[in-house]
Amino acid sequence: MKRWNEPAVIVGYRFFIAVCLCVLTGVGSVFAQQADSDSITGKVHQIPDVTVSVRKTPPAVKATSPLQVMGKMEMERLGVHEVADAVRHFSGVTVKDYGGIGGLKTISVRSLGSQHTGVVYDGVAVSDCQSGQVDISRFSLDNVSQLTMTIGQSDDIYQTARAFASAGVLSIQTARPDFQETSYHVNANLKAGSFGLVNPSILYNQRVADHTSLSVYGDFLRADGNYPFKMWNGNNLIDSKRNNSDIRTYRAEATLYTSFTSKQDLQVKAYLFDSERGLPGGVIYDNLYAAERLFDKNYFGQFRYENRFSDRLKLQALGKFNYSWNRDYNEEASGISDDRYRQTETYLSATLWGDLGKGFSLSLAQDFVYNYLHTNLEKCQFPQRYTLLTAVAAQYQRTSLTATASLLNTYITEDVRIGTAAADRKRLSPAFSVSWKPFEEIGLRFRASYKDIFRTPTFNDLYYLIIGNSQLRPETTKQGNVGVTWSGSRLGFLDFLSVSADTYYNKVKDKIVAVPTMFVWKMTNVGKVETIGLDVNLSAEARVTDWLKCYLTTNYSFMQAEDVTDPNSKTWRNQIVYTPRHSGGGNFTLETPWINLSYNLTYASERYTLAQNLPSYRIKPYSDHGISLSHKFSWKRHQLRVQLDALNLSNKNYEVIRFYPMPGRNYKISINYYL
Amino acid sequence: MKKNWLYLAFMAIPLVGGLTACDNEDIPTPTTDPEPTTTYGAYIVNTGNWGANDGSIQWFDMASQTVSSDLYQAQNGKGFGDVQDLCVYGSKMYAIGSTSSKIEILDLQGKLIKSIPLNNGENQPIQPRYATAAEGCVFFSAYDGTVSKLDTLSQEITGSVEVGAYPEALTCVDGKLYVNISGYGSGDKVAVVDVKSWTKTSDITVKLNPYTVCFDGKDGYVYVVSNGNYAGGPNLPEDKWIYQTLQRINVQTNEVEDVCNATYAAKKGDNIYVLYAEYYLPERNSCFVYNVKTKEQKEFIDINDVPSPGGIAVDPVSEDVYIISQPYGSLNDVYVYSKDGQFKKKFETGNATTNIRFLAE
Repeated sequence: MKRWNEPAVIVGYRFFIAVCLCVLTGVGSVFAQQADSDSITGKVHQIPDVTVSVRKTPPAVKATSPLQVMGKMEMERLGVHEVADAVRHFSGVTVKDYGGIGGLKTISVRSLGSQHTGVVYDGVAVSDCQSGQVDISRFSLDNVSQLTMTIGQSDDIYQTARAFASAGVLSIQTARPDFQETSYHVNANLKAGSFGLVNPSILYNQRVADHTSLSVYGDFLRADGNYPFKMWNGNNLIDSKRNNSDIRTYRAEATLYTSFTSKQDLQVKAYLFDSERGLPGGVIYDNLYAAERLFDKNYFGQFRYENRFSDRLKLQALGKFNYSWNRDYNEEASGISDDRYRQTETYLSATLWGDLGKGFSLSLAQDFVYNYLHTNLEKCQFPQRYTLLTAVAAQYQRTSLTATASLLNTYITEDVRIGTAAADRKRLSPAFSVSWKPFEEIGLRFRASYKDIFRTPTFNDLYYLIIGNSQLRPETTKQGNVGVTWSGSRLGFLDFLSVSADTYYNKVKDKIVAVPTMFVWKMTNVGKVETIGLDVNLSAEARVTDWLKCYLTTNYSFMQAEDVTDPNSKTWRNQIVYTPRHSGGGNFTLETPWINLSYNLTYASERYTLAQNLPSYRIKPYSDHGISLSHKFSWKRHQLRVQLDALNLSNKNYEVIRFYPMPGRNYKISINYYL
Repeated sequence: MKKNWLYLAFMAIPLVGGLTACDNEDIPTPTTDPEPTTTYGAYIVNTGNWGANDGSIQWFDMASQTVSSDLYQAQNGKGFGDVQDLCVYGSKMYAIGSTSSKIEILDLQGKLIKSIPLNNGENQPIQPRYATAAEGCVFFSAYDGTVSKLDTLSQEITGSVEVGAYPEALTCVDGKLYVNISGYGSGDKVAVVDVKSWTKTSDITVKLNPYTVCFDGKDGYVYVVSNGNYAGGPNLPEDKWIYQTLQRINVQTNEVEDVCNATYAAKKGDNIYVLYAEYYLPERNSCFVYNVKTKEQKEFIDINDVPSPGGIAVDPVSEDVYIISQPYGSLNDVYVYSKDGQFKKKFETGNATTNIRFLAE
C-alpha cells in the first residue's frame, strides 16, 4: 500500500497509477461500424501499384464533425510504425509520451484529457475502468489498415451506443482479408532498430470455404530501451542513460470471417497480449535507481453479427469478454511491493438501423457493460459497475446537406463489497451536427456541430486507496465546432488538394483533480477549463513528371485551454498543464520508381507542467524531424518492401513529459514480405 | 533580491562566529540552550512535487520581511531535487532529498559543501526522511527502517541502527532519539535509541500512524502527532475511528498521554499552536492554541482564513505563528499571525512548502 498523505508523494503515485494501470489497460470491446466502409483503403492496400486516377471525395471532407483518416498507403508513405507516430499527424490531438518503446502513450483531443478520448479496436472500444485511459503504445500498426480520428460526434449513426459516449474517438481498423487472386496471403514483417529493438510479426490469411476466411496474426517485440540522454539541471549537465526501460511483448490475434447468407455476416475474434516491461520513471536528480516492473496480460474474445434484412433495414449485434491482469512489482530499500490488479468487462450491444426514405435514416443502439475490478491492495473495495447506454440517432442526407442528431441516455449503477459505492448516475447527452455544400460544382463544405458528453469517474477516482472519492460527479464537456472543408482534383499542376479549417470552443466542468486537503490528497470536482482552438489540415498531391510524384500533408493546431475555476487563484486563465498553444506537423514525400523519400516533422510550442504557468515549470518547445527511405520490389506475386528510418534527426532529448527525455537520433530498418 | 543576499551574508558571519564561540568543537549542548532572543529569519523548506525535482530552500529575512529565491539554485547553479527536510545546526545546514536519496551539507547561504548519496548494500536508495541534530551529529531517518548518524566534524556517516518500518520525524532529548515509526500508515510506535550506546532501547506505543510531527517540548516531554486512521471514512465503523492526536511522552518514564487533537502542531513556551483537520470530517477543521499548563484550548484563527492549510510553525522569539497554505497547482503561501491571532502578513514561497526552520539566537 502506498501512502497519500504528503504532497511530495501523491503526485508520484498518481502518475504511478497512470503508468501502471493505464498502461496496462485492457483492450475492451465495442464493435462499431464495420470495415465495409473502408473498401477504398482496403483495396488500395491489396493492389498498391494501381494508381487511383479518379478520386472519391474523402470522408474527412464530407464529415459534419472533424474527421481525420489515415489508410495503409499513407502510413507506408509517412513511414510510421506505431499508432502514436501516426496520430501525431492528426490535428487537434495531443500525444502524451513518456518516451521510449515501453513508455506510456495516451492521446487527448483538444485538451479535454485522455479519459475523454475513446479508443476503438476493430469496432470494439478499448476501455480501462480503473484508469479511464488507454495506452496506445500497445498496438502494432503491422496488421492495421486504417486509423480514424473523430472529434465530436461521428456521422456514422449505425454504431454502438458506446461510440456516442466520448468526446473523441480513435478507431483502429485491422486489415480484412481480400482474396482476389489466391486463397491465402502472407504478410511477414521484421523490424529492427536502435536500443535493441527487434520486432518480427506475421499475418496469415486463409480462405477456408466459399464464405469463410481466417486471419491469424502474431507479433513479438523486445527492446533494451536504455537509451542515452542529456539533460540540464541548471548549469549541471546530466549525461546518462535511461535505466530499466526494457520491454518484451507477445501479441496474437485470430479472426474468423464468415457469411451465412449474402445478408448475414459473423466475425469472431480472439486476442492475446502479454508483456513485461521496466518502468524507468522520471529522471530524479542524483538517483538513477529504477527497478519497478510491470507485467501485463490482456485476453479478449469478441463477435459481431450483422443481418442486412433489406437495403433499408439492418441490425448488428456484438459481444465481448475482456480480461486484463496487471502486476506492479518494485524492490526498494523499504521492501518489496507487489500490487496486482485484475479487471473484467462483459459487453453486449445491438444496433438497429432503418432507412425511412427521402434521405432520412434512424438508428437505435442499446449497450450493456459490466465491469469488475479486483486488486490486492489493502483497502480494495472490489467495485462492480453496470452501465446501460441507449442511443437514438437520426440523420438526413442529401448531396448538399447532411444533418445528424443524437441523444444518448446513460444509466450507471455500482456496488462495492466493502464500504460505500458511488450513487447511481443518469444522464442525457445530446449531439447535433450539420454539413452543407452550397455549390454543386465546388467541393466546398461548411460544417457545424455541438456535443454534450461527460466522462464517468474511473474506479481509481472513486475508490483508489484513501485518495478516491465516491462522491464525485461526472466530468462534463461541451464541444462546439464550426468549420469549412474544401477539396478538389486536377488543379493545374496539383492532382489533388484538400483543406479543412475548424474553430472550436470547449468547456469542461467538474474536472476531476487530486487536490490537497490538510493531510492527504483527495479526488475532487473542482476544475473548469475553457478552450478556444483552431485546427487546420492541408493535403496535396502533385505529379511533377512521369517518374516523380510529390505529396504534402500538414496540420496546425492552436489551442488556448485555460483554467477558469477561480478568478482569485494563481492559476486563473493560465494554460492547463501539458497543453501546447501551438502544435503541428507535416510530411513531404517524393515518390519515384526507384525510391521513396519521406520527411516528417512534428512541433509543439512551450508547455507548462504546473497549473500556475511559472517560468521554472516551462518545457521548451520541440520539433522532431525524421526521414524514411523505402523501396518496393516485386517479383511475380511476391512483394518485398524495405524501409530505412532515421528518427529524431536533431538528436535532442526533448521532453513531452517533464523528466521523461525522449530518445535521441535513432534508426530503424523494416522489411516486409507480402504474398 | 541582491540586497537581500548581501544582508544574509553579512548576517550569517557573526552568527557563525557566535555559535562556534560557545563551543569550539562546533557542538552546542542542547539541554543548556539559552532561550533565543533574536530571530534572524527562517529557512523555508519547499519539498516540491513528487518526481518534479522542484524542491527549494528559501530564506525569509526577518528584518526586511522578504523572501529570497531558491538559495540552493542561486549558490550552486542547479536544483536540489526534492527537499524532504532541512536541519540547521551550528554553522551548517543539512538538507535531505528523499527521492534523490541524499543528504547534503550546505553552508548557511546554501552553498554545497558535501553531498552524500545514501544507498544500501544492494545499491538501492534508502530514501532518507527527516533529520535532527544533537551532540555533534545529525541523525536522520530513512525508509530502509534505519536511523543514521552523520558526524558533523568528519562529515562522514558513522553508523546506522534499525528502528522499525518507515521511520519519519525524530527528535533528540537527553541523549535519546525518539523516532516516529509510521509503518506507512500501519505503525503505532515511537522508537527510542540511546545515542551513546547507539542501540534501540525501547518502543513506545502511541496512537496509529505517528508521522511528520515529533519535537522536544523543552519541558521534559516529546510531542508526537499520530495521524490516525482517517476517521469518518466510508469503510470504517465509528467505534474504530482514531482521530489525529497530539500526544506527549514523558522522557523520564516513557509514559504517553494525550494532549489534544492535532494534524500539525508547533510549540512555544506553554502554548501549542495546532492545525487540525480530519479527512472525512470537515466540520472538525480548526486552528487553535492549546495551553499545556491550563489545558485550555481556544480558537486561534478561523481556519477558513487560510485557503489550503498544510503546516504550522512558531517563531521562537516573537511567538508569531506561520501557517502554510498549499493551493493546488500553484506556489504556496505563508500566512503570518501574531500570537494573539492578528493577521500580520502573507508571503509567497515555493512548491509544496512543508516546513519553516527559524534561525534564532
